[in-house]
Formats: sequence, C-alpha cells, structure tokens
Amino acid sequence: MASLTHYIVLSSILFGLGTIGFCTRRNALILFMSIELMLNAANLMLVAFSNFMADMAGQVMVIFIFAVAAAEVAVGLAILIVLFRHVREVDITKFNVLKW
Amino acid sequence: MEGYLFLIPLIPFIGFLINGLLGQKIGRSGVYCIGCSSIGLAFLFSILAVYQLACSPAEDRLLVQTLWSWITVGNLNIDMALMIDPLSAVMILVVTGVSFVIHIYSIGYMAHDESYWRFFSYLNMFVFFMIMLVLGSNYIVMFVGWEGVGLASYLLIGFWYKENVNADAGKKAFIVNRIGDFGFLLGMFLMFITFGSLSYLDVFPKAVHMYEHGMLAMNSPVMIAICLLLFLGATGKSAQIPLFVWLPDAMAGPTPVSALIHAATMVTAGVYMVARTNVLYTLAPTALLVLVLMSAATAFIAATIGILQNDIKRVLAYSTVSQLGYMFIGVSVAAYGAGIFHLMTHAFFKACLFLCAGSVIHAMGGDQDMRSMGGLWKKIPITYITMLFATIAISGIPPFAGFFSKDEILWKAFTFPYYPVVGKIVWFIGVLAAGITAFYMFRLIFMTFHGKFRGTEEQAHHLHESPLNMTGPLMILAFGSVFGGWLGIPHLIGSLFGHVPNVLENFFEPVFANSHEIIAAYAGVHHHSTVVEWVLMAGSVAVAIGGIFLAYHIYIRRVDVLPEKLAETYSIYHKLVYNKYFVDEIYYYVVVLPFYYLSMFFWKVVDAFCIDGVGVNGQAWLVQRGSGALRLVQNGYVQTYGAFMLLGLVVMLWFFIV
Amino acid sequence: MIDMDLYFWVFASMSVLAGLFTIAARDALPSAMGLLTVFIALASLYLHLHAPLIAIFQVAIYAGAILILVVFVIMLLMAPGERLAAIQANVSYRGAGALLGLCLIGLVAVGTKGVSEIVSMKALPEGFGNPSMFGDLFFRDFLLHFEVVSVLLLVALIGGIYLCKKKL
Repeated sequence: MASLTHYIVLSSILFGLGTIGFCTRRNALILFMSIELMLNAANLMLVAFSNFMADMAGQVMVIFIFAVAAAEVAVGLAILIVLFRHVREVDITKFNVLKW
Repeated sequence: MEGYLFLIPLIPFIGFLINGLLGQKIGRSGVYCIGCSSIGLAFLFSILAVYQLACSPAEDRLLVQTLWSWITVGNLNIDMALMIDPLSAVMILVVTGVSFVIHIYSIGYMAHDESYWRFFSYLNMFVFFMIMLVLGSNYIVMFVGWEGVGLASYLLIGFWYKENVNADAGKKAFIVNRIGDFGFLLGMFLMFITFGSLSYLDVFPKAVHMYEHGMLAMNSPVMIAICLLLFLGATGKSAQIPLFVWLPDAMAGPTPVSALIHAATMVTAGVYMVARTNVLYTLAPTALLVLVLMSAATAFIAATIGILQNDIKRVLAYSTVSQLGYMFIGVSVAAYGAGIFHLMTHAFFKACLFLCAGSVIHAMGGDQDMRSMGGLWKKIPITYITMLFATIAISGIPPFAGFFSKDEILWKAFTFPYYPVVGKIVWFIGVLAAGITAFYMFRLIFMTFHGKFRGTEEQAHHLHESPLNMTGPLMILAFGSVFGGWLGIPHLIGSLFGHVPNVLENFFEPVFANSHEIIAAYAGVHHHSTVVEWVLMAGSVAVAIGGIFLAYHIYIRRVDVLPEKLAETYSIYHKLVYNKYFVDEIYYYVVVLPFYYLSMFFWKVVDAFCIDGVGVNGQAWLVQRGSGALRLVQNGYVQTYGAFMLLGLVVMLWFFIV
Repeated sequence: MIDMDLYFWVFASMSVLAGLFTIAARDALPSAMGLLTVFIALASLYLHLHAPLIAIFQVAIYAGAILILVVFVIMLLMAPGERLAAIQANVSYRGAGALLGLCLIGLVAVGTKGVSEIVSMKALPEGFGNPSMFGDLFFRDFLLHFEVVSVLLLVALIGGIYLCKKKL
C-alpha cells in the first residue's frame, strides 16, 4: 500500500516539473500547460491527504480548485488571443514592454 | 521696608518698553519725558533706599527683596533677588544720578537725529540692566545685568549702524566682552562647586567661616582660580589689558553713550564686581598680586597712548582705560573702598569731560579732530569752564575730587599689606601715570580752547554755545567734580580741620569689615608714619603740576615748533605710541586670522563637504545609485518573475525543512 | 514485492513520464497530448484514493473542457510546422528558475521522510467520496464558498466575452 510519503513525493515531482516547464519554455501555450500541471499536482496532494486523514474537506477544496482553474484558463487564453491579434507571436520573450 | 526695591529697575524697564514700542507714535516730547522721568523716578527711589541705609546702624545696613524663585535644579537654588548694602547703594546713586543728567543732555544732543526714540529706549534698557547688575543679590542676577549692559553697549555703539565703521565697532565691543564673560562663567561655576551657592549672603560668610575654621587655606589654588577667572571677565567689561581694545573703537557711538556707558557706569562694573567679591580676593593674595601688576600696567600704558591721540574722544577713551586701571589698583591692594571712591569721582569728572567734548563737537559741527580746534574759550565759555574744572579734577589737584580718590589709592598701594615692595613699585608707576594724565588732559585743553583757531571758515561761523539742556548737565557734573571728593576726606587732612570724618569709609564699613579683619589677622596692623603720607601726597601733587606745566610749555609757549621737533627727534617712540603699540594689529594676526582660517576650514571642509556632501547628498546619491541598479531586475519577462517567486518559496521551505 | 501497490506505481510513473514529455516536447500539440495523459493518470490515482467524484470531474473538466480549449487555441494561433527559434532571451533567469524547480523537488522529497510514521491511515467512514457526501458538505458547511465560486465563474464568463469582442 503506497503510503502518504509516496503521494507527497509524486506530487512534488509533478509540481517541480511544472515549475521547470514554466521557467524554461518560450511558447505561451506550453506555459499554460505547465501551470495546469502545477495545479494538478496540488490537487493530488489534497486528495491524498483527504484520504489518509479521513477528512472530506480536502476533496471539497479540489472541486473549488477545478472551478478556479477553469476560470483562469478561460480568461488567460482570451487575453492571449487578444495579444496575438496585435503582436502575431506566441513567444513570450517578445512580451517585455511592461518593465522599467 | 524693602518692598519698593524692585521699582528701581522696573521703572526704567517700563520706560524702555514704552519708548521702544510706542516711541514713534508719542513724538519727541513724549519720548524725552518718559525717558528722563523714568530715570528720575529710579533716582528718587535710590535716594530713599540710601537714606534708609544711612539711618540704620552699621550692622543693619542691608535690604534684601526676593522677587521670586528662579532656578531650582538639584542643589542649585537661585532666586531673583535684589539687595542694597552700602556698596550697591553708592553704585546705584552714581548710576541713576549720572544717567539722569546724561538723559537730559541727550535731549539737546539728539535734537536733530531721526532715531531719537530708539536712542532713549536703548538708554533706558541700559540703565535697567545696570541696575540689575548692581542690585542683584547673587552672581547670576549680576551676570544677567552684565550681559544686558553688554548688549545695550553693542546697540548703542552701533547706533548709527548705516556706517560700517560703527557697526564694526559695536561688534568688536561685544565679541571682546564675550571673551571676558567666558572667564566670568568659569569663575561662577568654580564658585558654585566650592561653596554650593552663588548668593552673596551665602558665599561670603561661608568663605570666612571656612577660613577661620581651617577648611580653607589662605592663598589656596581654588580661590586664586576663582578670583583670576572673575578678573578675566572684568578685563573684558572694564577694558583692562588684554581686552581693552574695544573701548577706543567704541567712541564711534554718540557722545552721551560714551559718557554714560564707557566712562561712568558700564566699564565700572568690573570694579564693582571685584569690590563685591572682596572676601574671596582677600583670601587669595596671589590673585591680588596679578591684578595689581596688570592694572598698574594698564594705567601706565593707556596714559602713554593718550598723549599723542588727535581725536578728542580717543584721548578721553584712553584716559578712561587708564583711570579704570587706577580703580583696579585700588581694589587689588585690598583698598576696596578707595577703588569705589575713585569710581564715584571718576563718574563725575569723566562724564563731565565727555559731555563737554560732545558740546565742543556740537559747536564744531561734528569735527572731532583737535588739530582743527583752538581758541574756543571765548566762543563756548560755559563748556570751557566746566571742562577746565573736570580736567583739574582728573589731574589730581586739591581740593578737587580727583585728588582725594587718587591719592587714597596711591597711599593704599604704597602700604599694600600683602606685598609691601610691590606696593611701592606700583605707587611709583601710579604717580608717573598721574603725571602723564595731567599732561595729556591739559594738552587737550590747550589744543582745544587756547591758541589760534585752526579750523575752516565755515566752522568758525558755526561756533556757538550749546543750549541749556546740554550745559545744565555740564554744570551739575562739574559741581560733582569739584565737591564730590569731600565725601572721602582722609583722616590725615580731616584731622587738620577738626575731626572731619571720612564719610564714605564709614559708610562702607560693614561691607568690607570681613576683609579688613582677615588682612589684619594675616599681615598684621602696621602703623605708618604720617610724615611719609604727607610727603607722598605732596609728591604726587607736584608731579601733576609738573605735567600741567610741561603741557603748557609744549602746547602754548612753543606750540609752533616744539611738537613737530619732538616728534622728529623721538620718531621711533612717536610712531610706536601713536599707533597704540600696534596692539590691534597684533591681535589681528595672532588671534583673529587663525580663527578666521579655522572657521573657513570648518565651513568649507567639515560643513560643506563632509556633512552636506558626504552625509546628506551622499546618502541621496547612494540611494539613487542603488535603486538605479536594483530596478534593472524588472526586465519585463514573466519567467524572471516566476523564477524569483520560486526562489522565495525554496528559501522558505529550506528554513522549515532544514 | 507483492505488497507493493502496483496500481500506484503504474499510474505514478505514467504521470511522471507524461509530465516530462509535456514540458519537453518541441511542439505545442504533442505537449497537449502529454498533458492529457497526465490528467488520465491522475484520475486513476484519484479512483485509488477513494475519490470517485473527483476522478470523474477530473476527466470531465480538465481533460474534457480545459484541454479542449487549449487545443483550440493551439490550432487557432499556431500554423503547423511553425517552430520557435532556439533559446535566446533571458537565459540566466530561466536557467535559474529551472534549477530552483529541481531544488524544490529535492527539498520536499528530503523533507517528507518521516511523514508516514506520524500520519497513519484512519478508518474511512461509509460512503467516503460519494456524491451524497459532497452534497452534504457543499450545501451546509461550504455554502458560502460554493456561492462565491459560482460568482467567480460568472465573472470569468463575462471577462472572456468582453476581452474577445471586436467592437464594444
């Protein structure tokens, strides 16, 4: 039986992969996908703890995270499309105007 | 019965406020009236106080009025309290009386000046502070008055401030005074540490008590230190060596100011202070030795400078320095009463001399150079006669006032109980200086009033006698110069006329009793032969008459030839003395310039560069550069920001886990 | 070895490999496929963790809605065959971020060494993870949270419409 430790390590590996992808890739859409990966890792951790502590609150929170993630993806992709109309690029290193 | 004491300083203070704030509104006559009547009222109250004192027996001659408790900090308890004893009684009469006369003179003198109201308010302020100085019952109130008269002096010397020379003279007076005040303050601090109090009624009995019970030795270092530090303050205020340089320059002020402040009252504050502190000085003979040598030197050197000055007021200024030297000789041979006696007679004849000089200058249309005067006695007779009387008084010719006071000082110097040999040397220097005094004062008379008129035509037309409000005071002061000395007739002469008492000495007895006892116990009572006393008296009179005759010879009989010939023959000495021994130049190079460079250093390097440049502006520069470097982190890339967030997360986790 | 939770290990390794593929794929579409695999693997793991409703929602929402949306946008924005040029800008910070991600994994892995001794499995009540339990919780204890999230979704809806209008 996989103990809690296994689930925590798995979750952290997935989260770490998500952050590495976020920091490394230049394609905006792959960036979004890395963010989803991070969110899913968090979900996994919550469900694991909910299971091992016999508390339903963890699973309830996961539902909320689903909703938030859906909203975030919708709005984020909408912004990306509007940007794309102007810049014609999905390379985020071209979006560096908001600086000093 | 001392409840009215506070009115003596208060009334001039109110006069000062009214004249200062409302002077321009109440007009000339209003200002004159308030200015003079306030001093007149103060004079009347002083007479009342002195009368009360005179009626009491010797031990009870003391009136103290405590107004309020001023400073109470730890062990330091200082009250605003006024005290009249015989010493301050004489001082207050001199101050208010001479001030009153000079105020009346100023009505005439400032009749054409547009800032008359400022003048009278400053004069009233001065009298207020001088009264505080004299009436204070502790050293702090005296110091308040001390500083206040310095302020009034500065304001009045630079009265015509639109000329740079006058403003500079005022500054010089104040700054040199301040140097002396530093010594005064240190002396006060030391006194407080030694005796635990600064009130006269505490310190002096305690000092006597400590001495009699062996807790305080004669000539102890702390006493010497206190006395010498206080004397430093006196050299600044009373224009002794080394801090006398401000007094000749102070002649830039109006003549009534010179008469009042720099002849009769303010400069005598140092003498008053030493006389007040007589117990401590008696307990420190070494300090008295230093004082007597310095004051004898001052008396002599100032007299020598006076013989060659051409400005009539400068001659009188150096004469004041010299006479102050005499007063200090008096108090430093432990003859405190004699010093105050000379203070009183000097107030009369010096104020008279200055006011007469003012009258002469008024007649000459503002010219002060004696080389353009001459033969004025026909045109301004009243001035001439009063000035002549005052000059005879200052030369020490009996029976005028100066003779009695000067002679008493010289006799007491000759019989100095602590250092007899030094006393005799000081006597000799004093007699020489007396002769020189007679010489230059009569030189002044002869150059101004006798001989041929050397001025311009229009000046000759302008010559006229001064109005009554100017000649009246002259006559009053001349009267004092003639008869004022009769208050202190020495026993020698008094016994000739059948037990005429020395009024002043008897009046002063309770104030100086402790000192006389200490001296009698320490140095023994000597009986001096009356023959010696007569011989010395005759000798000093003879020297004075010799000086007068020498002046007559040079400036009347051989006036066309002799002055220039003497100047050529002794040209080096002539140049040295004419340039006042180059004292001002020496001070400039030795003291003023180093300070100037030091201040420039502090300004340019320490303030402008270090504090402003490095400290204040440097901080700003640092912040600017720092933030300029830091803002480059915001490079607009999302992934940079994500990396930083991750960094924060890792650091936090590190702290929790590791 | 038989005790080993085979179910867990299979789906765990599937999700890790798929995650690696997601972040390392050259084009966007293969990356999306990798992400799909991750979602399905995680749904299976949820099933194993007595959370059936979560598993269904995972497939329905994530794989069925979010991923579809992402794929739509990929097909909208990126012409096929178009590849981004090699790594150029902002290398230092991106490299630092990657390194820090690895640090993160290492930290958590090291830090959770003794967790399983402390937290032992409790007995699960009857009906754990069933929709009825969810209903209970949503409409009693977490009612406010529920309503707020619905408002959030409304806001996202409006925002999405507003952002993509040609003329307002």
